[in-house]
Amino acid sequence: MRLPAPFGQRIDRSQTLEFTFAGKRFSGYVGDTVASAILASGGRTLSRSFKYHRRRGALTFAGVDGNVLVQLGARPNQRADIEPLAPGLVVEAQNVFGRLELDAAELLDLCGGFLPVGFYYRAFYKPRGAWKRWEPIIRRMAGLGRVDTSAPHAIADIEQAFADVAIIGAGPAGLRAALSLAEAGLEVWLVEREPEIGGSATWRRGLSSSEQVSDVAGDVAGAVVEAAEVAGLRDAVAAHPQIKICTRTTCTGWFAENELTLMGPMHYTRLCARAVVLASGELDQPAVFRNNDLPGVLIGSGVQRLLRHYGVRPGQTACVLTADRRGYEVALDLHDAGALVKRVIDTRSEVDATDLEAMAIRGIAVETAHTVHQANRNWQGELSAVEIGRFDAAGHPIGASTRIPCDLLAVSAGAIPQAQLVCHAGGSLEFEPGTERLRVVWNGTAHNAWLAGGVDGARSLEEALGSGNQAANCVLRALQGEPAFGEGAITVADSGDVADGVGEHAGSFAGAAAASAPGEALGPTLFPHPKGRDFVDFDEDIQVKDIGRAIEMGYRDPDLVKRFSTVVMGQSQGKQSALNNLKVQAQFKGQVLADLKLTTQRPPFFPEPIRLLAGRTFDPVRRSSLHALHVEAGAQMMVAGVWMRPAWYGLPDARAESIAREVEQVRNAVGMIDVSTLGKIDVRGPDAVTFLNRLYTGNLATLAEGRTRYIVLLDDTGAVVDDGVAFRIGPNHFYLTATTSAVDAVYRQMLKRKIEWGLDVTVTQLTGTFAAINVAGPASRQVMQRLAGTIDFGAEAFPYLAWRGGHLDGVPVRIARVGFVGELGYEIHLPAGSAPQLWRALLEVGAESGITPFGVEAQRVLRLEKGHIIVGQDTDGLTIPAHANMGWAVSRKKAESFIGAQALLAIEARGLDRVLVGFRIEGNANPPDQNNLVIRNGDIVGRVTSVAKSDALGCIIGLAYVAPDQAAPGTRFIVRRSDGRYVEAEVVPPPFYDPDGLRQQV
Amino acid sequence: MKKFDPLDPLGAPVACGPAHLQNTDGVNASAADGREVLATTELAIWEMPPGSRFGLKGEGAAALLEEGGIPLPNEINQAVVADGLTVLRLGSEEFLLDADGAVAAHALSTHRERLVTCLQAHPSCLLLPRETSHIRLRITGACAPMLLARVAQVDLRPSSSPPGEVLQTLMAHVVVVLRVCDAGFDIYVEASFADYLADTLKTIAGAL
Repeated sequence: MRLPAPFGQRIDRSQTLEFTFAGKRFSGYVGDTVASAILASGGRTLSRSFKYHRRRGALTFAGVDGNVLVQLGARPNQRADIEPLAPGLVVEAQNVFGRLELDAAELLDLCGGFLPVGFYYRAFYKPRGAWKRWEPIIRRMAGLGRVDTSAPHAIADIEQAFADVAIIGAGPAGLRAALSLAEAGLEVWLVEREPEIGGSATWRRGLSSSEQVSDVAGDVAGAVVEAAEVAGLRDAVAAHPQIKICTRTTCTGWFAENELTLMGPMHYTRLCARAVVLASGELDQPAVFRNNDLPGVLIGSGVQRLLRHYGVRPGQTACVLTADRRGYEVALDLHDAGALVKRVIDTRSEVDATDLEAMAIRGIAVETAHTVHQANRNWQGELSAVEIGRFDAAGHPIGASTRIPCDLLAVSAGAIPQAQLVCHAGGSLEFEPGTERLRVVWNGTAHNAWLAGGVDGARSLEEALGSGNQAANCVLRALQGEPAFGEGAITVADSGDVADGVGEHAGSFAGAAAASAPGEALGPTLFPHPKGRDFVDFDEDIQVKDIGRAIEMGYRDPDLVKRFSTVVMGQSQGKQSALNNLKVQAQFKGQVLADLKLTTQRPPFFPEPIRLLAGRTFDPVRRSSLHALHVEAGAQMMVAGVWMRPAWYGLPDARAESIAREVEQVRNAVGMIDVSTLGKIDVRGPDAVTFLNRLYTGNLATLAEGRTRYIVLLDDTGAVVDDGVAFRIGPNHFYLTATTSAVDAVYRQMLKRKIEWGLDVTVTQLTGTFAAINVAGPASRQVMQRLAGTIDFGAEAFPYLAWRGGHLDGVPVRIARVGFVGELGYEIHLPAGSAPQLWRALLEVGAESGITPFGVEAQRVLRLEKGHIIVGQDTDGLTIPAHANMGWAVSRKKAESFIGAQALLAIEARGLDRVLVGFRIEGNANPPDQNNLVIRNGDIVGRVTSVAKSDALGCIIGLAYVAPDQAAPGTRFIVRRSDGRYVEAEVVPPPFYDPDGLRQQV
Repeated sequence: MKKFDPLDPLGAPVACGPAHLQNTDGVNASAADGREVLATTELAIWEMPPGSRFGLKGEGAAALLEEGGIPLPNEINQAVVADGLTVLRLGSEEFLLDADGAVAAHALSTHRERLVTCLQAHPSCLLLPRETSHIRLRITGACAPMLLARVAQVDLRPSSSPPGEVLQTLMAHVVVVLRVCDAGFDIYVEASFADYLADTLKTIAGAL
């Protein structure tokens, strides 16, 4: 039933919204949640339970229980009690076989005795293979929402933010702390799950700004004052420029260095805060009795939220079951809202006199030392009455029970600190025998993080505001570098009434006050029933006997009980079941609660959509300064590492002929390729030779100025991690190339080693600064000579492996006579911005020689014909130089020991277990693929690392690892192709093409 | 004696730039004087003209600059601006020099010519041509911090990063140098990443 204003402070009654739920039409108001609108229209059942398919309704209206999961269009498992109502929303019930009102799977509730906890672990694994048949059936029966794989993919950005202080929870304590800290000049983020700030002050009796307190409630004047104080605080916080308010935002995790993950409706934020105040409040808990899950049984605070936020009274005839004073607040609220409160059932023997008086004034009967043993249901499966009576020490019924018809049972069975986040950060919860409640154990000073408000045990507004001030004081002192509880530190305004310098956590003040207050000890809340259906965990339909069964079977540790029974493993992750689970375990084990620990709390606090976690994918792509010219020339671009490179020049479907044409052109005339992606590093300084000799395997002391040399870099295990070419520019100056993919790692390694070794060198990466063009082919010299410039390209003036500097076409260049493709070639390094000019010039002067650009694919064929390896493709994390026939690149005579030298000695002393060989396959057989296995006598002895069809050689060629005794030329070995067939290959010593190197050294 | 090396700092400044970075729209008349990448009421991204930007790195770099009367930041990761000339200190002996406006660009060219000569005597020091190898994006507007918070994990609050602050960080997984200036934020990034970064920023800006 919808109540008139001032109830329903969040709804706008002038705007009606239509929606459907389970195929039926409903309406609500702007500001409603899906569940509040359904309840306002008389609906009570929202879902079916996980295992027994029992009817379930909203329980907390705090977004923490699994009873309210619904399907909203393509979004499964949405919590109807916090999901804002939207026009035209299509809401479907989940976990239903048939209709919500008539669920065929409800039969499971009748045969629950045959489905004890853990039954599927033990029942469906025999005979062997049976689980595979049962699993899909069980999963379908126990399934939750429906994933729509065709739903459009939405990208959510992840924001990185920083703040001086993050305050989690915008209740009175959080508001007070936020305002105090902001007034002290700090930047404050205030994070609140609800759509408005105020926390419990938005729904608790006497605190809400839209308060309607009857004049016989007792302390009316006090309540009005408190409500006004909170309202003033809210306004001040909302108006303060130093406070960033994040409503509808959930803090899902608290990580090292006070990094918090904040989840909003459409985005995700990582917030790094210098200090944190956790003011997350408490979570009210259910009581355990038979049929405590029926629609119509609500947590007391859930009733209060419904009344004040949405103006919905969830029943006409109500009973209240309470274990502390809060139940009386709920009873008064229901009475004020026009409900007939037939009974307050208090599980305690001693009750506060003022509460009794307030009830007596309203004619509400109170039964002390009583409980609800059983809730009864009507033909619709919803609450119709409760049976109350006395109970023994174990919570079992004593004597006769009384049946009280009602359609609403509000339960106030105490609360636990909402401390999941603080547990993420290293805190814990312990049981406090004096109050029968859980308290947080937390060292705030060690983390620059303090607790405030209900999470720290504050019960009243005064205590909450006091603890907010206390936490703010601690933050200020800590951020000013003073001991958080020291003397003489600055204090925030209004803090004069706050106890200073107490305890290990800020709110000990509040906790201590609460502990000493009379009548605050929580009464019993656990009332197991012989007939069961006394649910401890609503998410997983776990009853008291299920936990007992787990313990009987030997699972005594709380974490083992959890995993066997699945208690606290459901959607709410124990938020409504952790405490009662512990109580049940204590009872079965004969232990006191203080001896048991809660199971581990892990992030996230609240389910995070993968969409938000994934964020936006950043895939950096680099383009050389020649990119536009390649595209203009019809190149098919490919991604090579992070670079875009031409694969071949030609139509997309002309790959093979294009590659063949380019290869032929290089072999017979001249081609040129953009190799700007090569890593380029400048090393100079007095210790340059020593530095490089310690890094690389070769001896660069013997490299003459004007010459280049192949260089190999190993890691500490002796494995090949990079190769390249060193140019000796001067006595203490080298210019190095590195592989495209490894250059960043090589550069980092150099910087690290430079510091470690304390050598005087300057290392500069120039990969993006310089471009590089390789001109290769028998006619390359003529092409180079046609360019106007200062360099003599004559064979004697510019021999093989030399480098020369000068100008070409007016562009400053550094050119090396090296090549990857086995032909006469020149590698031109030049400023990246000048590369297009020289590229065009080369095309122009090379036209009469038929110059053509060639791509990466042709280069791969050409280099393979020459037998050149690609580090990372023909090597792996275990390849040492000797494996790949690169022992010649390792200097054993130089003075310096290089990285990996000791490991090489050890590995070589053991003997090689494999060798990289060249192979050829004759005929028209399909070639093997890269990484196809080399098989001998059924065992794997190696793999193919490179393979290509060589038109120049008229056969398939490749490189492969084989056993050492298979490495002799002419040896034949077997490769298993991807299609499962075997093909025979013959070992051929590379290079396959121009074995004497005459073409490149010409 | 040190050999002449055309790619050393001794090399002449390069006049042309990568084709995809050329400002084909001519000189923009706006204050930014660069190429507009994105402009809304609350966010603008400009690709600034290359000017005579260069880097100087190695033993003696600071002394060489000071000899030329160039004001230097006292601390690493700070920048100073004087007469349109900006000097970013990236390390104890590593600097990036940039210019805003034709006058400052000319002054920077003059400094560069002097340094090229001086470097003959400082073989451990190298001059890095940055006018075409890198680009400078300027991001301005009220939404600029919001945009950057989605691509970089750095604290850009005015209290933590006031104008003059330099941050060497990753932006959308790309190494950048980010300078906080009065106008907003200047981002120096290798030209090979220019298209990627500009596209990424535009895409995210569209989702703000």
